[in-house]
Amino acid sequence: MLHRFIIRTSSLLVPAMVRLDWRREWDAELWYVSTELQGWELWRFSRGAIADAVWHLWNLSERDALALAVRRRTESAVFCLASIAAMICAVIVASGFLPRTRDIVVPLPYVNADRIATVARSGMALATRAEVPASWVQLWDRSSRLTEGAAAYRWEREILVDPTGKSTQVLSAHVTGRFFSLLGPRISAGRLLAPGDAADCPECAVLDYSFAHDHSLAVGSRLVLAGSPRRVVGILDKRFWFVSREIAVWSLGSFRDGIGVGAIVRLRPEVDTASAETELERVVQDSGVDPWRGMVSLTLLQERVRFVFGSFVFAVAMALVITLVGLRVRVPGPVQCRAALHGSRPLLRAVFFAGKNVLLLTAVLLAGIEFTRAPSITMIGGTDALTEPLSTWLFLMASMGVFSWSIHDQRRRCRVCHRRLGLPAHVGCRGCLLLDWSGTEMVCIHGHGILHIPEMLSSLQEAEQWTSLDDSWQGLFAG
Amino acid sequence: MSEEVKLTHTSALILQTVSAGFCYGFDIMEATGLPSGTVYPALRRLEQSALIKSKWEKESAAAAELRPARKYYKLTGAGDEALAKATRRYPLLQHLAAASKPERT
Repeated sequence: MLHRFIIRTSSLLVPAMVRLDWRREWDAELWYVSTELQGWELWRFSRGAIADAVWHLWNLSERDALALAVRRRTESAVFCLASIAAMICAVIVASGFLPRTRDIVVPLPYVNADRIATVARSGMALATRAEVPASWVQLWDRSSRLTEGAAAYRWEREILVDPTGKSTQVLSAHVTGRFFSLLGPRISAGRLLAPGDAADCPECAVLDYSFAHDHSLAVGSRLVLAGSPRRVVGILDKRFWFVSREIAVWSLGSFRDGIGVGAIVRLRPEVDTASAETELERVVQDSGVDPWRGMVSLTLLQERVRFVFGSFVFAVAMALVITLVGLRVRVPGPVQCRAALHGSRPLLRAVFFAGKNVLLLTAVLLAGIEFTRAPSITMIGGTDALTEPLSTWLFLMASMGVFSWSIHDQRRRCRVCHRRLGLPAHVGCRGCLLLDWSGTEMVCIHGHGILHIPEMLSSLQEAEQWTSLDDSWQGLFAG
Repeated sequence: MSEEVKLTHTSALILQTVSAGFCYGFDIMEATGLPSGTVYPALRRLEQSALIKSKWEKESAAAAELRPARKYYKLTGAGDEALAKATRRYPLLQHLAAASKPERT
């Protein structure tokens, strides 16, 4: 039993292409040997299988054959698509199964979330979305008839000291008393901050679910946040998030007049954003603010959360245009098409190209959503992390990279079997541009054709040429 | 290619043993007294250098006797030549051949 185990385990070291034969020989030998040897002698014999397997492992010719076989596999179109799919799987696993993407796709965890909107300054302001003065939020809360109320929020990085005396730097949000009553989130334990807390319980704070669990904090825990004492009165629901999941502590803040804050409003039923926007602007202008300074834009929070998809589509479109112009991609003419597509399957080629791009762009989208939110918030430090500044840049740059690589890869593939071309050979002399052709030729391992890539691009020469080879050439090629 | 193969004494010994009619791993182990961890890798090297070739016994013949099929080794032409050269280098190999003849063929 032990001897068979040794042989089976050792066989794992043997390259797959000879493993079956190797195991068959050792199993047979062991059968014969066990009729003649017993105990220690039999053990010594089976131990030789390890040395034999190690020899196979380090045998150069087998390794070369293995490397060649691996290289052949990596040249295939299926391998290309499988690798990109594996990359997507890696993003999914590394992110913990797409928590942020799920946050974006599923409805926000508030009561009637479709009526919650954020307000930002617009119009003459340089930034397309900017914080609003804290005094405006008070005005809207008092005077707006089309909204049920307005609340302000702001966040910053602060030092939190927990009951054990351990200090941690956390992202802490300060909100006005009406913030949670407007949002209407669920609570896991205790209670939410209430409008009356500004007077009755200014030290009250509620904690994010994950943060409370990670730090073993409960309702009643006493903390010190940026030097001020805080008492935990509630733990938010596991699904709750607002703008960022990184915000650990929510407490009441006193916003000085003139300080920039983020603002949310809850629209009354059947009120559209345009009419609410007009009303909020009128309220501000009635307080004596110049009309061009008091322009605001109101966006439904659910739409803003999903705006990341819009910025992705925009970035992809921009990247496509830039890449096509930059690489001077030309649509082949009918004659060129006939020559190039001889024997090929253009539909399959198009499907492969489209599939490759779709998979790569999916990986970019998921990575952008999952891995750039926290750095965005840390970097901008404002209240408008949802504009996703980092992910927009990532989408743009990565999409350009995707298209550039994808087109380059497509050009270096066989027009018939879509395998990567290999065996590059330099032809001609460098610099013989005027009277001769110089460049690199690559062939399909199955003998479907040759790709000619010129050393330098000139108006005299074609950028790249594909020469199809008929079946009479097949004998010269390995495939 | 095979003329250039430089045989170690152990490889030459195993080649000589195969030449003498010991045609599978354990048989060669018994004849030479070498351990399995030396004999089998040496057989692989010799086969890779085309000095010996292996052949599986017919499955039906082995099954008829209720035993597993065995892999047999045999010298090639290149192996014969290499052994002749090795014998000149290691004269004692001939004595081994004379001393240990297998009972079976």
